[in-house]
Amino acid sequence: MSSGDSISLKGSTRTITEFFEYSINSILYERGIYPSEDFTVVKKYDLPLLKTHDEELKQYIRKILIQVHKWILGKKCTKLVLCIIDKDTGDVVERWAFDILKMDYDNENGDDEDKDMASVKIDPQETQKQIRSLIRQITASVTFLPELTNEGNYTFNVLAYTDAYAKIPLNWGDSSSKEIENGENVQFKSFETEDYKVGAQVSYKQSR
Amino acid sequence: MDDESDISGGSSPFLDSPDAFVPQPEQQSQENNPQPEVTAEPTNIEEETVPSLEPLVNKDRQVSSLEYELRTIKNKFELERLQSQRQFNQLQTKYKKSLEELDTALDDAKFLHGENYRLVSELETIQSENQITGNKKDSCLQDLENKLRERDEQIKELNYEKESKNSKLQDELTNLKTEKENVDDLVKRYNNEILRQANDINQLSRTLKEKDDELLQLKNSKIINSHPNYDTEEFQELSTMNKLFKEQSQYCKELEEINLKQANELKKYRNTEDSSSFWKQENEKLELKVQQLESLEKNYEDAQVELLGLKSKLTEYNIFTEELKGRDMFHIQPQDVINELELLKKENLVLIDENSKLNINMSNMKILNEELALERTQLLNINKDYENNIINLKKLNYELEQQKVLSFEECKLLRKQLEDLDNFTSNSINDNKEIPVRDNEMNDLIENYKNRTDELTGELKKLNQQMLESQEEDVQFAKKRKIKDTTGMTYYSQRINELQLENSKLNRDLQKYQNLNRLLETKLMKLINLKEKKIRIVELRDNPLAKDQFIKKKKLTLLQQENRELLSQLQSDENVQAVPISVYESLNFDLKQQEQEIFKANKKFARLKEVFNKKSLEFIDVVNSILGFKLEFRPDNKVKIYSCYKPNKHMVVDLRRNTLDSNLEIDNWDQLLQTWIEERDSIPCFLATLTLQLWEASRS
Repeated sequence: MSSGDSISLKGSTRTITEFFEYSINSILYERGIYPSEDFTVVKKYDLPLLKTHDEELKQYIRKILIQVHKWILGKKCTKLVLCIIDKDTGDVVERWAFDILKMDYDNENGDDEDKDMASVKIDPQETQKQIRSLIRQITASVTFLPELTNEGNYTFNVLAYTDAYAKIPLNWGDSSSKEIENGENVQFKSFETEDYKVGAQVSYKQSR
Repeated sequence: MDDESDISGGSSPFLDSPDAFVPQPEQQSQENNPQPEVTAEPTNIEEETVPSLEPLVNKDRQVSSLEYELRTIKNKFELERLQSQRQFNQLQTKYKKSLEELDTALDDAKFLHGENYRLVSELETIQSENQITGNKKDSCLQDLENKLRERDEQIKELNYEKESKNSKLQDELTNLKTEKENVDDLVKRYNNEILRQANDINQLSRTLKEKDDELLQLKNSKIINSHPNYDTEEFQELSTMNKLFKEQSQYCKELEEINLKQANELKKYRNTEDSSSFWKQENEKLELKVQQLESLEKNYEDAQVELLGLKSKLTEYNIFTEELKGRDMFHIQPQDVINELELLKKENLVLIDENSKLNINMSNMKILNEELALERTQLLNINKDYENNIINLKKLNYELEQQKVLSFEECKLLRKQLEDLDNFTSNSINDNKEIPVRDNEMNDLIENYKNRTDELTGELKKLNQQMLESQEEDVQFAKKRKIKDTTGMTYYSQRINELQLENSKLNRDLQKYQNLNRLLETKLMKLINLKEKKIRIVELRDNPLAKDQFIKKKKLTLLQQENRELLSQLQSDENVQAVPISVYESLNFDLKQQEQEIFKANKKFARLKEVFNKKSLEFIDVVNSILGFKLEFRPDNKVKIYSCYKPNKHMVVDLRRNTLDSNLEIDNWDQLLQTWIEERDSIPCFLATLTLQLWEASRS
């Protein structure tokens, strides 16, 4: 990998990590997992977005994203999942999944088509536009998602899908996939960087 | 086979055709016989025309020459006949040879057919044996299935019984639980009551102490005074106090009685608790018993299976002993039986070996059969070729015969021509008058020649037709034979061979594909395992959910501990006045949780306050920017007012004293105050005037 590619990969990873930070914050705010006064408005992607200023939560998200950043750089992370869980029953009520697809343009064994695509540079502005569109979709999804009735009694958890041979720090442990059985799935838009394609989808229980 | 030989003998065209051919030259020769008569005609004419000696001599010469000619022709004919006979003999020998070869081939085919038939019959017997064993196996399986079904039913019944027992026990357990809960509630209530009463007692003891103190004081005062000088009031007080003491002591007694009663009730409840724990233990015991029963059931099933095996063995042994009895009625020793068994085992081994050998032989025979089938088909093909060759040779022979006949005819004609030419040359010199006669003769000769050639061509056509007919007959006969062959067993045997070959090929293919399938399945499993291993799902150990779960778990364990200790304390000592440490711990934990909640609430409040302050400041800023004054509310009921045109100076409004001071250094301050506030009573106008003046001052 040349230095140019490395810079591009780092840039792509930063973009993705940043997107995760804002999307997690947005979801936690929109779904009322944390009180609205814990969030402040910041301008990002030409959008007014909400970001927590609760130190504990900030620290938790930062810890996750630093590790996820490392994994994405090492091409070891394929998916990030945010689960919203009912504290009383322990049921997963919503599952927000972000797929991270590595675009193997530099693969020597790849098709000619891929090689052609390698020459296509993705404009950062275009990526920003796609992210904006995706975040708008996430924000708008509140309209169709079922109401979380047991207000203030929900918590969340972030799962990372990694390669089996990835280096896992000691403060990380194995978890179940926390899938929602017979859940309704809604696929959102995706965005592309020069190295990755990130898709999003939410699954939720049909009737609560 | 006799029929076949007859057919083959009769069908052979070699026997008929040479006979058909042989008479032809004779016929022709017979037909040719009149020719000398035709050729003799001119001599008769000569005899009539020249009645002298010379003609007689000529006649004699002619006769002798004719005789000579006849002899030579006869000789030639004999030679030709002999040659043709020899050729015929040669062809016959060839034909016989080919027939013999055909017979041997047929014999081989017959042998092969017989072998095949035998093998087929063997196969059938083996198949029938296999079927019988299969049927036996099926019946055995059926029996075993029936038994299994019976066992299943028994198990089901036992399960039902077990479930009913379990449900009964569970009902009892739930009843006991509800009882226990009630008891717990009552215990709680009584505990509360006890606590309340203990408090009352404490209070009363405290008052008692106070009274004791008072008494002591009084006693002291009595000692000090030495001369008691009670007033009536003091007496009254003392009497009331005495009364109070008595009442309190009475109350204490009553409380003690109540306490005793409650203790009795507690005892009762403890007894009920004991009974509930006893029932629980009983339930556990029963569950253990049920488990044991299940294991016993399994053991029973195993034993049944074993028993069945032993029974079968016993029946075998009985059969065997009966057989032995048949042979030797009186002297059956166990040793004999063992020896016999060993011998039978050995025999069995030998038979197994033989069976395997036979199997191998069978497979070899099958292979041989396949090879023979192939050879047979090859032989049939060779036979067909051979027959075709014979037919071709016959055709050739026939053509040669025809050519021979034609050459004979040509020879005759040429001789005749030569004779005529000789006659013509001898007579042409003598007589010119005879020319027209000779012309006539020549014409006749030509006509005869023409007729003869026509006849010969007609005969040739006839012969050709006959030949074609005979060929058609041959072809038809051959077809019939083929049909007969195909309708016979040979066709079926060939077909069976082909089918066997195809079957073996298909079996091989099947085996190959099954192996391939197995290989692919294992590969697929490996791939699936690999894929499963590839992804790992991880979470941060210190996550909000885990925290929440941890708190809940801790609370639960603390409560359990508390409950356990309280129960043990109640059971151990009834009149204890202390609480276990776990109660303190759980309360402490609750307190901590509450603190956390308070902390959160405070945080929330602070955040709300921040937001409020922020918004207030925003509001103040907006107001300041519009009105031109900044207000600062001080805690001592004073409000500082800063003008935007002189921010370093200010006015102070004392709301308590209702005063307005300023360090703005305005010359007409008192006048403005007088005009706008005292006279016109309008602070806004005063402030507006002040603002205007300050603005002008700032501009200047």
